[in-house]
Amino acid sequence: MSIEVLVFQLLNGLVWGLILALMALGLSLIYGLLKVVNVAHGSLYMLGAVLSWYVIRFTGNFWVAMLVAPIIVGLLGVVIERAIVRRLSDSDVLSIIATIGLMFVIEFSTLAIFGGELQRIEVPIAGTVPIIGMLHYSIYRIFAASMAVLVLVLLWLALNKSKFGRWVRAVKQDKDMASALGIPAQFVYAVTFGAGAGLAALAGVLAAPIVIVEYTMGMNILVTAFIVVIIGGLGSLMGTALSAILVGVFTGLLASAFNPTIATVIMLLLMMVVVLIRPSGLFAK
Amino acid sequence: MKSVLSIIALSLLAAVIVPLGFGEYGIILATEILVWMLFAISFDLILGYAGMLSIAHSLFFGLGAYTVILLSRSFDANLVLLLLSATLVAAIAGVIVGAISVRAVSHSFIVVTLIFSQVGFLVALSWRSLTGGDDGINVKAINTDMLGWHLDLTNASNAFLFCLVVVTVSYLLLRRIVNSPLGDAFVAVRENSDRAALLGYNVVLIRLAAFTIGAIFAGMAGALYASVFRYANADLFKWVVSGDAIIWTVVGGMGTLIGPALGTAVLIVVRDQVSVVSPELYLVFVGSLIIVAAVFAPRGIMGWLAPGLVTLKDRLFGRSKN
Repeated sequence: MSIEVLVFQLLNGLVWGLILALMALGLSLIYGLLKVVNVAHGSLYMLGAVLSWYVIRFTGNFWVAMLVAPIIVGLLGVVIERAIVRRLSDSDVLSIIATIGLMFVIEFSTLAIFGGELQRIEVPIAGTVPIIGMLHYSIYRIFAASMAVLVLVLLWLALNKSKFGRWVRAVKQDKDMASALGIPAQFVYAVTFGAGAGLAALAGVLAAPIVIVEYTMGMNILVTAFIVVIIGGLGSLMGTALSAILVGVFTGLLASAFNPTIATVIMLLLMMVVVLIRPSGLFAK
Repeated sequence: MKSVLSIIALSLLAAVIVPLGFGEYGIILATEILVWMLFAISFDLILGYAGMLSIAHSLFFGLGAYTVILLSRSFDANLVLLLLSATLVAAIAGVIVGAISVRAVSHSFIVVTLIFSQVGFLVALSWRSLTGGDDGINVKAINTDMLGWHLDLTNASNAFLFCLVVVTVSYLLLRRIVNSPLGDAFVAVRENSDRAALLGYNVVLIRLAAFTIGAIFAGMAGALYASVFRYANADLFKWVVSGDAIIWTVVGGMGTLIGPALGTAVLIVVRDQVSVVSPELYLVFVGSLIIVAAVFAPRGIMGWLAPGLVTLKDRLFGRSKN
């Protein structure tokens, strides 16, 4: 194996890890505040990719899609929170079951409308840049990774430096007390769920030119995102981002040495070991 | 005792009505329902009684099914031996997977069992020489010679009656288990594992018992599936198969055993009817149904039916003592 292949797989792993981080942060954000395990998160990711395919078909512009798809899915998230999540009684099992139902509704409505064919989205920024030796790397992938980093930083700022972030932390600590102090807790719940959904959709849009767009694309990333969130420590944003990048890079390394199935199996087993040894996450204090 | 008798009476009724009153298609559909009923009931033992949301349940169904197909292909083993081997394989796998999984609780448990089913699926999918991957493998006929007596399972009515007997007996066994002190221990651990541990229960062992018993009956369901339909493929291992069990169980009513059986029957019949119009439509419908069930009726069909059933029973048999 040449150094070029290794660096190439590492870069792929890093890009994928950052996209995964967007997805996993949405899950973690929703769990951290609403205590809902959102199984439909993969469907929201898929919906982001599929919507961007439609927007590109009508406008021919990827950048419009990147803006529009997350906003639509984010609004859908607000509706989901108000219509379903809010009415669930406090139970992990019930939230999982309700969101499995949601996943069915979203995925199979998409199958009915979008169809079962595999679609591709053209890479919006063509061209490559030289990295080392013979290796040239896709500019779009570098853009996607930078975009993910930018959003992660913005999210961190929003949660730690803004008034809304203060609200979120207050509601997380004590909902009744926060409400008594005049914080609109229901609004905070709805916006948080919407933001989580929007993050998943953004991950879907960014991934769309790299992967194949189809109605089942949310299934596999969901499994990985779940495990990433658990490894990172449920509700911990920093831990989630770190574990997503770790998982991405590790998967990249394994992919350069084994065939994809064996790499996935090894990765899954490694993650299982982590979950068993440190059930509250790798980065838990 | 009365309810055991009524289950047996119900089975006898089905044994007469289904083969005589239904066409071949209806009988095959009823057979399929029976197989998945057993799968859902065995899942309910783990979720409804022991409170563990296991995604690995499909693994044991797949193992049971493949044990039957592979043994039947290479050794022409007879039906009794096939069923016994399938449950043995499921039991061993159940102990191994369970021993690792039950130490994890809540989300970690879900993730660990999810990883098991995903790994099982990926291995089955890529080990084509053994499993046939997603195309699957089949067997021409199952050897059913037992002590000079022969059961033709290719006949739809025979297959239905055979499944009916196995599923009824399995249901009664599972019922006996959940009504025993062990069943009470499952519920104690589900309700509050710390308190159960303080009372001297070995929480890990009790969880493992529930997990393994569930796995054994899931393996039995898989074995029935393979003996009747003579086919198995890698998709049986997929976590969405466990997802079906979750749906049937919740729609029917968790922790009732009979509820999940009912949920399975209702949803498979609905799927059969709506799929003719559009399979996507069925799944969208089922999705909405699950959401409605989770929001408005967390106790499922049985939560709605149970009060009425008690009244009916009181009318028929006089007021029950408890």
